[in-house]
Amino acid sequence: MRRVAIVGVGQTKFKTRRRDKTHPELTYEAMQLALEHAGIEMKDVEAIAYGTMDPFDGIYLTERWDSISGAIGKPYMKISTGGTTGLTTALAAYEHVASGLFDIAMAVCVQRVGECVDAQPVLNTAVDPIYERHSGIGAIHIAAIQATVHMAKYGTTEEDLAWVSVKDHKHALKNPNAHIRMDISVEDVLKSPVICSPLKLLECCPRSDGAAVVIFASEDLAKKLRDNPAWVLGETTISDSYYIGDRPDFSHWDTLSIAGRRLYRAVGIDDPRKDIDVSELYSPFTIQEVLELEALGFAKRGEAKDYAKEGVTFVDGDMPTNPSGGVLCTNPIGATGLVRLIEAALQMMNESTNQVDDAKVALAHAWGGTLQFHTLMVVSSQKKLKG
Amino acid sequence: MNIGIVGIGLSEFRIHDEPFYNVAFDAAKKALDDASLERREIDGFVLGGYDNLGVGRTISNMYTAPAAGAYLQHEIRVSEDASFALPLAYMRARGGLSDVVMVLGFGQSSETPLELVELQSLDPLFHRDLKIAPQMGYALQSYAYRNEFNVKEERLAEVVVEDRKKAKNNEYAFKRDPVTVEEVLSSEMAVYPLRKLEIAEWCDGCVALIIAEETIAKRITDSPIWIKGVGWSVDNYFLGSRDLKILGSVKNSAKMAYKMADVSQREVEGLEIMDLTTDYHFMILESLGFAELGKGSELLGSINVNNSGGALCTSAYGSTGLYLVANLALQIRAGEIDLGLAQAMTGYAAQNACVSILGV
Repeated sequence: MRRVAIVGVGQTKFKTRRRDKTHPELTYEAMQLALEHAGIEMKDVEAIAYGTMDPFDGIYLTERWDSISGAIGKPYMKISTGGTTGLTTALAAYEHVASGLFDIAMAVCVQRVGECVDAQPVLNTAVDPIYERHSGIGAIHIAAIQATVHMAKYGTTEEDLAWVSVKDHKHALKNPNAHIRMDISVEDVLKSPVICSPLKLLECCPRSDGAAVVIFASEDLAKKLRDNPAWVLGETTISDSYYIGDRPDFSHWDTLSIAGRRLYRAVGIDDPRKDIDVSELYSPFTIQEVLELEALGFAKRGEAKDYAKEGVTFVDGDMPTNPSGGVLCTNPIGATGLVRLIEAALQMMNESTNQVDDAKVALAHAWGGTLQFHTLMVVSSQKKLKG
Repeated sequence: MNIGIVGIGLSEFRIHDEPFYNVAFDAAKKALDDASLERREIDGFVLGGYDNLGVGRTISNMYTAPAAGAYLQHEIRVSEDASFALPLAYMRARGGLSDVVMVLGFGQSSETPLELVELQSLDPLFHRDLKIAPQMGYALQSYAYRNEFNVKEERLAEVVVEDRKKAKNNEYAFKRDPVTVEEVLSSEMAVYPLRKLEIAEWCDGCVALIIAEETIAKRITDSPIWIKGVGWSVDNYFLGSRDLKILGSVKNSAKMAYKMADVSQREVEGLEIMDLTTDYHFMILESLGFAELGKGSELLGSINVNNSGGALCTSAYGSTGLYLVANLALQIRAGEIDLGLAQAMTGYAAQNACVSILGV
């Protein structure tokens, strides 16, 4: 198979509202940063995969307008898969190069969640109008169910989850692009208002405006463009059934576990705890990081609840998780998955502002739908996992 | 590495009242049966179709992916006309990332008022206040084209007559009643200069294609239909910056597809084109290189185009392009032609286009 690497990344500053720029201007900002990082010009980019989740931005099919930011005359394809959009767009751009059709392809994701009054009712329009929509369910309600079930089954406490938030917020202080940058304590989290019991304000993601770009290149070009490309070692996605009521067990993310196992087998990861040095997981709510660590084999079931509290997932811990500050501190929904990959790539390039020492393999993850989709990508500073 | 189509499935194209995932399931099941494959033998699903306002549900692959059979499998959605999903599936197979990929296109035009929906794709600063419905976009191009090249109404009406004649024999086509030139010309003026019968009428329907890498494709069937070339492109968003008589995105897409297939337009024996209006029929043929600019109407009756009846007879917002690809593949499978081209376009004044070249 053709080897592909990430040769440039760019992301805007994320804020509640980016009133200073129009949709295509915001896209252009991230594109220019990525081109600069890769040391190339727009004319060098042969194809573009564009991703967003339409309904938040008040514009339908934003890719049409955003095409003026650099896509005109190029092969240009829109990807949209809910919360996984950022990472599936990256996957599509990666496939452009892996196929041999193109040598340089760009993944572009942009989102302006600040344009909509409330994200949760928008997400409610994704569920079935006959059986589930009337319940008002959105992402936060499902996370609250996950937290409640995990607490009941494993004795996970509110304090355990608060530590996840403290960890992510500490990490975000090192990330100049993060939306929420504040130093908080466990007490601050526990005192923050309940949003959807048992989840509190500081355990929930913000709604962010911003754009993210990742540039993929073929092996020959990657070596010419930079000394430290992030090599793509593997990817996978998984798609579950439609109805949230059909999920077998909210205390365990079984589809992520299946996807992780498939990916590890393909890439040659024997033990993720040893073979993966840093992870960027899509956890807009504290409980989800715990579930993801368990599903992905970083912890046994019921044990990841202690990780943040014990320092395991801090940047200097044994399993650094979300050194960017994670989704808990920045969430431009349709671009969020790509932001995970950007941090994973920067870690592999040894260019992160919150660098994990000697990191050689990174995992990026995103979930979407009502716990329906997962996408995973493994990147490395080396072309092969071992040797 | 060659990639071939090994399974084809189409639902009925009409206004569907039942839950739409049933329609998607119908197409997917037919494609699996056609290829004699089980769902579990597909290791990649690429969906194609619109989202939220366009189909009435956000993250529309949530309800169509399980219907396609993607349960616990790799799955992704191209949020465009489903013809754009074919290149992505092709690239996945060609990159060796999946062996057998299903492309499922879904179009549920009846769920939402598309004239209003498309208005929301206009940017809020310059275009939205103009309230240009998609049909007005068609009309702007028709007006520019007819005026510049003096194309006669009667000649344009013949496109509808010809498409309908062919659709009559296509069990999947939505509009199958024959019409006469007089009927077209006496149909009500919809949006000047286009009359009602000169514009495609929306319907609902799904299409599934199963593609596979060469060695596997040959295990599945003795006669895969090979994807020889794909091309897709985007033109300038601003209508005021475009020459509306020319379909730049179609031209660019065709150039890419011809180059990949290493064929010239002269070798193409049959075409399926997305003639959402009569004028587009000629404009597309010109952009694909079959006629000089303004002379597309001279081809009428002399080339094999839209054996399916084309978009003028069947257009389900989101799956029209893949419907045309499927019809082209059926024509090749039937031995009627050896090399064919399918074309699709979307957006205001055909901002986006996709071209696929298939052959034996």
